[in-house]
Amino acid sequence: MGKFTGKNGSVDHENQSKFERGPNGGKKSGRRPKDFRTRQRMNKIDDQYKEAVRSAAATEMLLQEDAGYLEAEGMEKTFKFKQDEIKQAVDESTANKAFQLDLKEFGPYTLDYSRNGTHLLIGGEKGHVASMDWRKGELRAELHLGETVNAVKYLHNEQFFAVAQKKYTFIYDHEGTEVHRLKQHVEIKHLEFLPYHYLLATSGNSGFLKYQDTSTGVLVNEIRTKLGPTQSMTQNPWNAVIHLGSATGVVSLWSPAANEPLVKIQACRGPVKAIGVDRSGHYMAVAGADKSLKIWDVRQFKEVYSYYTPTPASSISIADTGVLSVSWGPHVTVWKDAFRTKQDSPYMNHMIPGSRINTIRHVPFEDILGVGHTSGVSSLIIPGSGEANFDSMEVNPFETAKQRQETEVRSLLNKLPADSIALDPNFIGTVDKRSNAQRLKPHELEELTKKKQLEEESKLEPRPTVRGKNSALRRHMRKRQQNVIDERKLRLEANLKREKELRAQMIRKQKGLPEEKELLGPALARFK
Amino acid sequence: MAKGSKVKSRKGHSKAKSTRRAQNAFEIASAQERAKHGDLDSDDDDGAIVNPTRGSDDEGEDQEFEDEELDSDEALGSDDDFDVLSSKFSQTLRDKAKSKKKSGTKHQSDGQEEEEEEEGYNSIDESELVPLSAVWDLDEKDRKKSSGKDIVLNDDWETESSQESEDDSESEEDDDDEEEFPFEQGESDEDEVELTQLKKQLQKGDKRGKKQYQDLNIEENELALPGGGDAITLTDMISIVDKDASKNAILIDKEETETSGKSLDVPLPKRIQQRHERKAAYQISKDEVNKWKDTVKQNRNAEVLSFPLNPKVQHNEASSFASTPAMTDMEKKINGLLTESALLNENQEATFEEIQTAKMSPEEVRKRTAELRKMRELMFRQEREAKRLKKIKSKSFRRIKKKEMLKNKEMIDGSSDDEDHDAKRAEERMSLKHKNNAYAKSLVRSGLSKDGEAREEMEEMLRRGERLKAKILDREDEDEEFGDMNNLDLDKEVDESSDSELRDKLGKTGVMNMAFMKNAEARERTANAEERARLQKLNATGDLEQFQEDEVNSVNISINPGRRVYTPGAGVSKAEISRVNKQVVEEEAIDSSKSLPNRLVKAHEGKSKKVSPESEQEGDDDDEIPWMAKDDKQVQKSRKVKVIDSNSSKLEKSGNKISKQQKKRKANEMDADDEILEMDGVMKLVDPHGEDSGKEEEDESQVRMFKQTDMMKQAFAGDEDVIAEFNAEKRKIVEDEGDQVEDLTLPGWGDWVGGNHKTKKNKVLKKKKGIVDANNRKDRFKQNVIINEKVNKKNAKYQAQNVPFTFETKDQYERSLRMPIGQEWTSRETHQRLTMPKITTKRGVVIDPLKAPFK
Repeated sequence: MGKFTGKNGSVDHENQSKFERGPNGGKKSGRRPKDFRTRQRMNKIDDQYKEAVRSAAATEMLLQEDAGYLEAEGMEKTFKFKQDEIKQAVDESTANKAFQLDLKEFGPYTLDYSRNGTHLLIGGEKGHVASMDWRKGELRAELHLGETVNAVKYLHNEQFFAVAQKKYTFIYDHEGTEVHRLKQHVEIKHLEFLPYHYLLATSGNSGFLKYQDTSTGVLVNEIRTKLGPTQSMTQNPWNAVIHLGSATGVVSLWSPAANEPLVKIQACRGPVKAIGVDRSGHYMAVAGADKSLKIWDVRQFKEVYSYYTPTPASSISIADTGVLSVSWGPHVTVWKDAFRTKQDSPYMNHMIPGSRINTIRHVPFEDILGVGHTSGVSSLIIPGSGEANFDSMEVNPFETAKQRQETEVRSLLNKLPADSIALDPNFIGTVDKRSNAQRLKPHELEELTKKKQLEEESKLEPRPTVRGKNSALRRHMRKRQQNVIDERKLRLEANLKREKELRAQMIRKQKGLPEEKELLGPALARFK
Repeated sequence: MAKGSKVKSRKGHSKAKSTRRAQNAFEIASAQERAKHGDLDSDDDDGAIVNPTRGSDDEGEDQEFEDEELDSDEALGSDDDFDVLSSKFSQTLRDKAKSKKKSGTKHQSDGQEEEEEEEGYNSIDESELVPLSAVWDLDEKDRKKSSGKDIVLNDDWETESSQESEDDSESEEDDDDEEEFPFEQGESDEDEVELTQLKKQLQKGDKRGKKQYQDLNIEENELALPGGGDAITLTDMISIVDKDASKNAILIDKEETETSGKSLDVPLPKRIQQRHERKAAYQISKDEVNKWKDTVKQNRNAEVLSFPLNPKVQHNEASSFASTPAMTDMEKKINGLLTESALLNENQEATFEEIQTAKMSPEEVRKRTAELRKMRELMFRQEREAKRLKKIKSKSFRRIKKKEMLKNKEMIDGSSDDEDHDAKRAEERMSLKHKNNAYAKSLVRSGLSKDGEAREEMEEMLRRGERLKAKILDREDEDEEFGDMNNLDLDKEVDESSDSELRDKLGKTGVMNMAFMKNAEARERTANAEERARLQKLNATGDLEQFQEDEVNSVNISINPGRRVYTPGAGVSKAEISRVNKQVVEEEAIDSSKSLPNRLVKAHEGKSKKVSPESEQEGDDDDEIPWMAKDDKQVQKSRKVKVIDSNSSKLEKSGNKISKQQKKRKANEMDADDEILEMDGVMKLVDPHGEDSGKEEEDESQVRMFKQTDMMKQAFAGDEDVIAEFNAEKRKIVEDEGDQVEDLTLPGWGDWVGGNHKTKKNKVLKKKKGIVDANNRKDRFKQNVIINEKVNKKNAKYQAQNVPFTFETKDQYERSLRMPIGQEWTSRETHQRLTMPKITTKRGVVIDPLKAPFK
């Protein structure tokens, strides 16, 4: 039993450490405030925090569902279980979820699941795109584009999806109607969508990483990676940082707020074939063309474990429960707890004979792994890969149309600005350490403002239009020798003189002075 | 008394005369002024306007009266102010005080005379009312007296009122008196005369008169001391400031002078006095306010204040059916009806009963209660008896009952038809509780069979499976026999003996006694005995060697032991037999593997064979540690080795070979699957399959694996420079972002051209601060990682510039932010508490001010 420490008789729970927040796990640190009121306030804050942690820990018991796993007995090995055996053993509804789509004409297929896992979007390289509610078996949209399809991606919900085609990237709605053609996204090979920022991130042969805001349609940022064509791409779901894999084996981390990579990691020797980041944002799995599969701790940027694949991996997918799936050739290998401990044997195996696997994706909230390969799409049952407890406030796998609409509105209201993406998302609200050094001193500020003012004034002041010094007339007057007097020069001089007089007159007039009267008539005036 | 009449007269013409009074007031005032200054002569000269006598003497007389009166009052009860006020002259006194106050506070201006007159009029003194004739007389008398006395009197008043010399209040009084006279004339009586006389007497007796006489010599001016040379009293001082106070002060002053006669200390400066006062006042108010202190503190610290602060506690009714007053018309109506029909009265029944008993006589009541008690007692006894009987029954009776029940059950079971059986089988299949499935195997392999519950379950399953199978194979009888195998005991032998007896009885003749029949019988008997012995042995040891040995040859030796018969069908039948035997062995193996003791025994055997053979017998099953148990496979393997030897038949050998090959193939398959396991050739720790495949023959996959890694290394040998490039890049970035040193020395300045080039000593270096020092970089000790240290300016706008006020450190501030209040991140409870408004009020409820606590 825990001890009673809360004000309302609440109990310290065992799992409380899981809910601690802030640096050093919510522990008090630093000196005691000097001021009495501040001290009181801090005490109050601490009490509130403790109580919040306690009540959060208490809510965990409401998460009734538990993810099960395949268990082997005796000499059995979990990776020996065949899919059809599992299919026989599991209940009917789960067995139905393991299906196969034989689409031999337009493969190899890439695929994507909507955020709540209800919809499946498949894209055949030869131009076949289909969106479907895979659980109900209802086709939402089917397109034959007659053009290469490089990548497909659902946006914030299943109502829209982006397709990276041969040249441009297009956005289609749920019925398959072309909504947008993204002209700026050319030759895209990889698509990612950041749901909390409404950003579609694209990269491809050009080596550019582009962020397009799908709610406003603004191209937020286009970054020249300077790392050559992008080989692979994924996002860190925890901090919305995009990971790009280059041909030199460098994995670079990007944020739309910075034009340089936040971090560069030399992960493997050959081109980076696939990257995956787990939900908590702690671990990254990188598969290279050098057949290496490395697990990196992204918090410390340290390599944790390294494995080898018999042939270079083609795709990596990490499920919500931390199940890591790697595809290589016709094989899919699934690893359990691959991040925590060094694994000796995989959790599950599957082979699709005679077919090269292109993309694998775990289905959110389901024990299913979707596999897109040369001859279609198949889904495999991976017990224990789906998150058992879903938060319907976040993503609801059973949402109705109304709920979907409301979620859409809410998520739009809660949309995060693109430039708030950083390696550590908790930086928001903290005190900028450098701000003191950066701040201007008073006299500097004064100077600056003065300068600005002057600039503005000078801008506002209208300047007289001055005729250039090098007018044809002046040049003529200057060029010719002073002592040579010809007719034209006389005429010009007279004209100039007259002009001068007229100008003087005008000035007088402007000043309100009485006009100089001509004492002599026009005939005699020239003798004046 | 004169008072009553006076009042009447006043009513009549107070207003009518007011204007005239006003005129006169001025004259009198001026006259008085002159009188005060002591120039009576001039006063008389001015008599054209006012009656000269009155202007001087009469006025003085009046003043005298007034003063006399005051004095007398003081004389009478100076100690007790209250007494004085409530005395006969109280009205007068009060009036006078009022008027004085008025006149004192009001500025001496003629414009306000009218009002003052009114006051003056009201404050007419009865004592002043003197008949006109008397007045005349008085005048004469006064004249006879020295003029000095007049002045004395006048001055006396003056001192008393302390420098109110120019005041018109007195003149008003006079004025009033004058006006009053005409009306008072008729009312003159002896009382007044008496009073005047009394006053005179008092005046004579007053020693102050003499004292004040001395005062006269003091020059009258602003700077003159009011005390006339005496010690200055506090009252004197105060009178300057406040004329009200002066009035009171007279009394005090007198008292003091009378009682103590001591001079007072010099009072504190006003400023300090005021400070003291303020302090005292503050202390009082502080004490008062402090009563609320705790309450206020509590309310301030409260997370939420909900008004009204202390709502009336509404106690929940114990029962939801508690009577509540009828609110609606409907309820009222129903209530009325209920009461009408006497349904609502709850007490009615009770009272009814009470009435019943009340009606009875005490004896009857006693009798009734006794009866009731008896009945209760009887019932109780009966119950006890029933309980006891039940208990008695429970041993033998229950046993019999049970047997009966079982019999019935069996009968029912026996009568169960095929359909029922099918249904059962289906059910059993559904529940996966038949023996040869993956589930059962898996149970065994996982070692769950060691678990008691699981084992029980499994055994039950096996039993079921067997029974069902038996049904299918129509082997029920055999099954029964097998089931009774344990009971293969003397019973059977007894049977045999009885059999022989019976046979003996049959006689010597008959087919049964023929030699061949006898022989056959004997053979059969021996066979049976053998069989029995074998079974017994089997039962005892659980050894299956018999079966295994049986399958050795395909030779038919069943009939004639000395003869071998090779029949074409024999091979087939033998194969069949061997198959069956094999199955039996397998089943047995599985069975044995499932039972914990067997497993343990085997494990122990396996182990002890290696260590010491004699420990075999000693091995106690119960002492065995479960995790010491080995896999089935190993057990089987060892048996296999035992079974197949050089003596074994060709067929068996070949069969064995085939099975071996199959195994090998399987192993190869396994290895193919294992490829993935062995991806990591370097860090591989334990491969459970390395044992059987790796030792017997070369593990091809393993070899391949190593080859692959080598190949890979070869393939990417050229890519070493990828890492080198990366490191170079990192070095460059570190350099660029670190502190830079610039050489500002002019190149070539002060240098010699040519040989003997020396390095310059005084170089001008400028240090340029970079983004981050090479030693402080985050990626300093991280290989293959470059972390960008440049400041992201776009992110800066989401940060605070400095620590907000009241927080002292960055840590404190960030601590306050660590728990988000949104309901996405916190529990509902927390969210609600953190977002609750500090003050909540109930609409329509008056919020009372804080009540003073009991202090």
